[in-house]
Amino acid sequence: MAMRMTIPIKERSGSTSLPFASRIQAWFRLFIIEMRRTPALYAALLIAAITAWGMWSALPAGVVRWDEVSHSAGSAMIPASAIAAGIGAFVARRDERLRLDDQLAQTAFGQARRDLLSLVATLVWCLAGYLIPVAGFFAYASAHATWAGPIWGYVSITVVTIVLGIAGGWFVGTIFPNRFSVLVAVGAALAVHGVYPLSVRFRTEEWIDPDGSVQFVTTEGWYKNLIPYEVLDYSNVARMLWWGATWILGISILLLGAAWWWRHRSFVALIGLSIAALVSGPAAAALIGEEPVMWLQAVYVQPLCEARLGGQIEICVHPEDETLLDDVTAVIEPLIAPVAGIPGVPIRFEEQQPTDDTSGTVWFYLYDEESLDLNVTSSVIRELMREPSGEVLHGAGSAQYVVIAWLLQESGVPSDEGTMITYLWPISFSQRVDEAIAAGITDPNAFAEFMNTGSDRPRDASFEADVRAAIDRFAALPDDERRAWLEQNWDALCSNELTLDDLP
Amino acid sequence: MSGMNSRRGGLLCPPSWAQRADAGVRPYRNGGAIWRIAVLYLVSRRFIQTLAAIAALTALTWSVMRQTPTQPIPGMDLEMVTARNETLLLHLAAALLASVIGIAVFTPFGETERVSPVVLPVMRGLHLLLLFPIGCAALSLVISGWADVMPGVDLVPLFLRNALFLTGLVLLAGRVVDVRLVWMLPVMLGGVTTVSLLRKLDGMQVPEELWRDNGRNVLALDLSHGHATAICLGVGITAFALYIRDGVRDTEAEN
Repeated sequence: MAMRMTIPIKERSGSTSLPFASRIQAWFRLFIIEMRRTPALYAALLIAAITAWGMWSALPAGVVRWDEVSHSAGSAMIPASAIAAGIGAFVARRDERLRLDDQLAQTAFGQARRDLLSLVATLVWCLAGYLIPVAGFFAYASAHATWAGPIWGYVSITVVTIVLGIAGGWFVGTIFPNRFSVLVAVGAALAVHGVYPLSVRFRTEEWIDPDGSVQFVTTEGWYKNLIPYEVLDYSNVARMLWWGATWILGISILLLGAAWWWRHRSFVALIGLSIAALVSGPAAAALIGEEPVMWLQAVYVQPLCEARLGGQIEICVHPEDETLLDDVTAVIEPLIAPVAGIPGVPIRFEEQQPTDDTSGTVWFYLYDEESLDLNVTSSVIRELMREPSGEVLHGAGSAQYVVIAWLLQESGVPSDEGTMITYLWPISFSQRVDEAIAAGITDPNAFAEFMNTGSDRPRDASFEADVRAAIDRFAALPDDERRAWLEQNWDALCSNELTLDDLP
Repeated sequence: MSGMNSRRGGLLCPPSWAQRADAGVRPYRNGGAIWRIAVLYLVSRRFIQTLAAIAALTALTWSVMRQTPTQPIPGMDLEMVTARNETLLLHLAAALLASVIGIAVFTPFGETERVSPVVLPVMRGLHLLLLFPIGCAALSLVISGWADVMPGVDLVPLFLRNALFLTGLVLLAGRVVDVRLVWMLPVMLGGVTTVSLLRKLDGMQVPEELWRDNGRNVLALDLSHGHATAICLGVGITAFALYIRDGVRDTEAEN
């Protein structure tokens, strides 16, 4: 009896399709194959390297701030989206798979489904390449930052821009399948990011002043807020983030829909195009109308303070710089100790500049541990001697220069000329200040003009020798005598009324 | 054909090209055959399209730089803006030129070409040593027309150095992965350099600082940093020699 080799059609089950679970399993298997074989893996590695390098190099020494960590997460936007665009163009319309040609030729999945999985695998790898290092740095920040939390806007805008890069590349690779399509896509991505800063000339207009002179003014381009890299800076503002992300995703869907229609003439592509038009249009209109520059106003935060020198001074930092407070006090305390308690000497030293009133408080700039000595010391000595009214003087006269040099010496900083130039200014500058005061110049603009006109004058060696001698003399005074002189003359010293001749 | 075989040193050797041509088996004599192979080689490398890509890159660089203002604008440091645009465009042009060359050296023939005899290294050498100078000459011509706003910084030699380094990296990476993918490397390095400079731009006092980046990025150092120039030349020349000898990987599956 002959064996039946095939089952007659009438005896087969009614449905020829796979059960739902099996179909999902088949999709998943093909997706895993795509994930393992797609060249987007290389793109992911490079995107991860760029992101990690950008975030690492933006970390200040000795302090972790959420603002900087979050903002640096966006620093990879330009190269990451360009690489995403290139890999999108490379993968689009590419049926070749590593060691899988025969297997894929026999799959029951049609070309459209394979394209979809290829696109998804590219998206997943590129986004993973970006998000994994970001997650690592955010975890580090959550463990070490002392104030606030992550700003997701920077990450979100970069993520949707990478999606836009892949969509743009996919579009280029689909309609222009060529070995050079990757470069077209990369060039387009870079051009999109660079169009605003490089179009200054387009936005420059001639302006005739009332006196007849021709001036040039640069206007903000109406398209500025449509460019992802320009939106990045304002993506910590909720409205800008949502409209920006919606606009970028809308354009991405538009490009993918157009590419899908070009290759597959699919109804799904028409749906995508319709959604994109509905979403991106209003978002673009909203973005064009926004003026985000108005939103960037500093907010005063209750500082973290520490009393020193038996309560004679108080040193305050922003809570996010809590880890630097000990270093800051180690710089300020020895610098102020010799004059602490003298009437008129500032008692509060603060990192933030309050918006209402700065009188009585010395404001200093703080960035990180490495630049702390320079930033804090130069800020403090420049603002230490104020006029009794609270104003900061425009420059230190020779008497102030001598006292400041002595204070630096007392705190362990050498007061040689190089150091003084780094922390304060050259001796010749003090000589000009003396001359300005003697000439009765008090107006700030006139003072600045006077200082500029003498900036190229040859050095006066005898004056410099006098200043050096005065510093040595002042440092050699008995403590009691020097303290008494400072208490008696501090206000006059701050008002720049004293010269070398008035020093003890 | 078998009647044309000759015996040399006791071995039966196939006929030479000239013998074949004399016998009418091949329509070309040696010169014609070499010319034809050279032309076909260039066609297989999309030479015309590569030249078009270099022309497009040159035009892009030229036109973008033309958008830089030439008149003083209140609130704008004209020298700094000009220096910024020149520097960023130079990095962009070098990265994209290296990418173009990386894509141009891809061969579509795979194994057939890999087992081909000695003519290919010569072809590879001629192709690369034709393409690279053309690209460099075209872009150098554009760069030489830019305003000199950075004293002590010679942009044309810097461009040549960076282009040599990036092209060398592309060719070296092309030995490891499919050469069609290594455009990512110069794009990444160009992007990293650009982003790094943009981040530091606010703190720069003079335009020359654009070429005094930290010592780790050889692309962002001027010619006074001898180690950067030495690294670029070393990588470039080594990579060119290795490419001419061995070629690059033309598929992900090569073993």
